Amino acid sequence: MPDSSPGADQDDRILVDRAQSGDEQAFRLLVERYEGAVAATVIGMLGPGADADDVGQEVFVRFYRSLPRFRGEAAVKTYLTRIAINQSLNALKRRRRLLDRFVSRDRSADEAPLVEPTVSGERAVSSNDVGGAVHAAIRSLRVEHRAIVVLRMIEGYSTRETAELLGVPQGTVMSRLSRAMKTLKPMLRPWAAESDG
Amino acid sequence: MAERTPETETERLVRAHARRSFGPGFTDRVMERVGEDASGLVLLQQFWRLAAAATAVTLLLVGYSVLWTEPVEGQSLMEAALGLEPVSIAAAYQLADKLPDISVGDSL
Repeated sequence: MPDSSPGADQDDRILVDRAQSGDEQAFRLLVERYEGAVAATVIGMLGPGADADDVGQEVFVRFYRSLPRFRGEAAVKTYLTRIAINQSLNALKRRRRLLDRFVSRDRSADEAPLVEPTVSGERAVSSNDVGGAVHAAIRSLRVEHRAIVVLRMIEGYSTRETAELLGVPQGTVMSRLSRAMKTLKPMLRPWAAESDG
Repeated sequence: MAERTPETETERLVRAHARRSFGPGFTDRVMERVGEDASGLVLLQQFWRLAAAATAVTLLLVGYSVLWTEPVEGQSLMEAALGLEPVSIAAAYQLADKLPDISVGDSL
């Protein structure tokens, strides 16, 4: 769940204090503790691969740089998730620019707008690869819908927390989630039925 | 227990299959990058310390030059600081008197 228990928060505070005074071992413990949360966000946004690994590292390097300014107003996990979302969005922009650069040579400007290449859940993923199908389905979503799915469904943040993290109204979170579910449901129906049966 | 609706089953699938690890060695890769970043920061800090020291020495020399050099009439503060002769018509005539008489014909 998104917000750590008071005990874990206190524990985090001690680790952050130690890391702020130059204790690398304390920072290592923070990385180990929050790799899962950062991985869920970054891989959810970008899909698995070297790109996601790079962004994951960058998230922790930025956290390390910001340690002297970190006052602990937000929980460490929330702080890291915010960095992870921002870095993932930047990576998607870079990906998009790269794609535009390569494809624009072969396409005329009046053709349909470019979309990030995605793999269809039904076609490219074998029937027993549920994980692959889930990733493909998430990647087929628009970026803003994907961010909502990652924060609300994977990370378990509330609507209010998701709205705060993304800087959008709560109503927008709910409507985007509803639209995302409309896309995800038919794509994942075969696997949902399988696990029910 | 209530029967799962397709929607909650979709949510369950998404949550259950989320990847929660970057793979083996991730922490080591982060620590390596943090180490590189930290040494870069140390170099940057040293550069700023040196730059601050160099600026202080320069200001000290400028101050010394301004205070201990006899002021010349018409010399600006900047000229005094840099030890430059004031630029005026009188100074130009003085300079002309000091220089040997050179004409265009001589140089050819």
